[in-house]
Amino acid sequence: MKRVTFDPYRCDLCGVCSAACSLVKTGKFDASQSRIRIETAGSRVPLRAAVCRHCEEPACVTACMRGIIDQDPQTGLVTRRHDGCFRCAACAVSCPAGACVLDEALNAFTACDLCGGDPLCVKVCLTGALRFEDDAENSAHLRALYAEKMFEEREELPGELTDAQWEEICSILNAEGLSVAPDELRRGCR
Amino acid sequence: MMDTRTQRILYIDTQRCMGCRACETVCKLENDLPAGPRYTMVTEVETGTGLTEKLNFLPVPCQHCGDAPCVRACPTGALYKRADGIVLVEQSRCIGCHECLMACPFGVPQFGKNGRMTKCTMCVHRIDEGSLPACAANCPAEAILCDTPENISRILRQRYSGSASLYGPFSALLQEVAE
Amino acid sequence: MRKTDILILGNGAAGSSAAFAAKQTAPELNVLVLSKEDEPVYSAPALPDLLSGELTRAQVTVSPWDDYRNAGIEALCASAVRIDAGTRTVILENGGEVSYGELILATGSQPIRLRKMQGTGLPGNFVMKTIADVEDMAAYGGSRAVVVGSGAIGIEGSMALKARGFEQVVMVEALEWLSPKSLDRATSDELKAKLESFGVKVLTGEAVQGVLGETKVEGVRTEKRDIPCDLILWGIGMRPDTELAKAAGIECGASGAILTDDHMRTNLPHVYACGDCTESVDVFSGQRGAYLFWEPARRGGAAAGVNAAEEGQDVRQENRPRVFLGTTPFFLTNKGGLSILAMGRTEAQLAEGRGTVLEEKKDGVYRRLLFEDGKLAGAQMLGTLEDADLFAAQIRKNAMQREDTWDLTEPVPNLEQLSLQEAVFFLRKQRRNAFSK
Repeated sequence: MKRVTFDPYRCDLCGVCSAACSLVKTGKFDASQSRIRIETAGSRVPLRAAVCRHCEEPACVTACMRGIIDQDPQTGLVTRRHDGCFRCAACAVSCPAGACVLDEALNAFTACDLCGGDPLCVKVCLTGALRFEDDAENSAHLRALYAEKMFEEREELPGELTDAQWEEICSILNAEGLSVAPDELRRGCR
Repeated sequence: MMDTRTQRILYIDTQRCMGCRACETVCKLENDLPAGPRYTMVTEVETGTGLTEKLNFLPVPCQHCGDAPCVRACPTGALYKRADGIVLVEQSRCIGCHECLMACPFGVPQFGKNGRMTKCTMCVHRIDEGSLPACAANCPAEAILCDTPENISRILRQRYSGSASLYGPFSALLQEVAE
Repeated sequence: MRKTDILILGNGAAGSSAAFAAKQTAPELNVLVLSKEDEPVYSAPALPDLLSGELTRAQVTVSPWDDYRNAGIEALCASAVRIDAGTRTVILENGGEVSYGELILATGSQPIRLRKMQGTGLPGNFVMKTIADVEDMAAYGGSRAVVVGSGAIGIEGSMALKARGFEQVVMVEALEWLSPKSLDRATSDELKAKLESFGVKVLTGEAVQGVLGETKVEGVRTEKRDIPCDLILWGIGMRPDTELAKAAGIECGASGAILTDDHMRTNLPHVYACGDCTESVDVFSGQRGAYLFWEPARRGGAAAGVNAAEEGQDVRQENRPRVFLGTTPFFLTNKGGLSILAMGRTEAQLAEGRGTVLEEKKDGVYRRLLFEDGKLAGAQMLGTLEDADLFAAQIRKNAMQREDTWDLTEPVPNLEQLSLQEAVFFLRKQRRNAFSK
């Protein structure tokens, strides 16, 4: 299955992924409510993305003391029912990816649901750090990156987002029915 | 035993690799791999422009790193480094969380149909019998070396000693012909 | 006589997981679940929340009957009285018989009751194992309760009774401190103070000697005092329910629970077992025993279901978990403003002379980390779950480190001189290093 993957070399820590995620999931900018979190070393070096991996044998599904986390036997997608979550935190404690988030509005633990198969965080990541791809694509991509490094043919790393790019992200969000002005978005990403 | 100097590694002599992909094929056969997982993969990179333009090849098997990030990242202890340094996976412990793929700088972790991680084993069954991994044994250009860093260094020194940059990758071949 | 491909005795966490896993693995097989209770699978760990009124009956149900029907799983409310493994038949209490292809025992556990002690048969004595127990307790009423035992049921039951509006809740523990299997004494002391701040009175080192009252519970007599009360909640432990299995010749271990291999097979062909009625390995300590936890019951149940279905169908499907490697016991409570997490080894379980314990108390939060040879072996936390996932993964990994392999987890240097916070920084850094390509 396709998963959200992360290339730290291309991440410029703009924060758009978390901002867009919290906006689409909770209606407001709040990075603490985002289902995706970019982990860093210090404050400026991106390391990995903490986001639900939809594991083959998910620890959260068996750990959930309410039994409301399920795995679709066909697609492998890990889904959550939120009603009756009593916030025992067993999913968060057992998650290997640190991907569980306590949603304040739902009053329940939750995690990335891949936006139903078309993740918004990936769409708004203009630097290409986040991608939605399967294992083979991810592996091939990483191997190619390594080979490029080996032969010193690295493409230019992304700099800060330009004004035009901020506008582009806003238009992507608008197309999703989320109307945001570039300034508002910039503030939300901080 | 925990000494990376005495550990066997797979070394790729990129000067020699000509992108024939024999390693890919023989690896699939040796490890009986179905469509999907690729323990090794030859990656192509174009460099230079005009007269210096060139297509480079780099087979990427598992590097069996000394301080293997995948082993560190694995939350269940499914990945481990055997006493001789070979990085292996115990599939019954794997939960398919992909942390290893996120940690590996080389994109080595593969996932088969069962969703569990699988990877280059340095042909551990052949190593245990005293023979070379299939890719190293079958590389027609001898671009894949499997030995300790010290021995590999010796081989490379021999291979390129006295080779003027004039002949580049062919110097060793010329030397062999001369001998 | 009824016939079914897969028969499952018990419809708790393990039994229902086995049923759904079996049906998913082999949809063409008939799966029949027998249960003593006429309830679809519900969450036993959520029962205290049902008692406190935080959750409704529907909200503690894991899979309603509709899920069973949609999956094609049959369920019957019936008690089995005998297993005839020779003819592959189970005899029911009502005289009926069911013949099976594969049998999965998920008979669970029974709360321990001190039947010989005076007064324990009177109205007002309760346990908390089933929905019915909770509803009976809620219907019984009263305003003063004594809770005997300080395990998960004791602690969560006390909090729930307090939340239900009981004026007096007294927890009585015979041992010297609370949950000594999971907590060190220092953690217990902190927990005791926390519980008392919620209005639960905690008495330790006081064994209960009898129940007072003629026609109903009127009080509890301990070694040191009489405590007047309207009801008693007994949370003194659970015992694997293995009567049927033993009578059928199924081998049990020293703990009294059923022995299985890592594929959940018992010593009899075509008979599997999972959940509370089975013995397993505690991966933290390597000890075998009856470990009664929700998570391993569900994991083991799913493995039993997959293996039984594959045996019945004689086909292997690649993407199903089928091996159960042991229990990782977590003591986890996070409700009503009280959060307790204990995992891994306690101080008493650390190897002699190789252990280091760090603790920190700050802003109402208590954290205690236990190291063996500089590597994390246990954690106990009150009032916070920060870094819990990091600790959990580290503890499990260190406990499961194979012999004769390279251990890449370096010990925390100069541990004795570090504060807990500094040690946590090191552990975080170590984790991050794996991703700093």
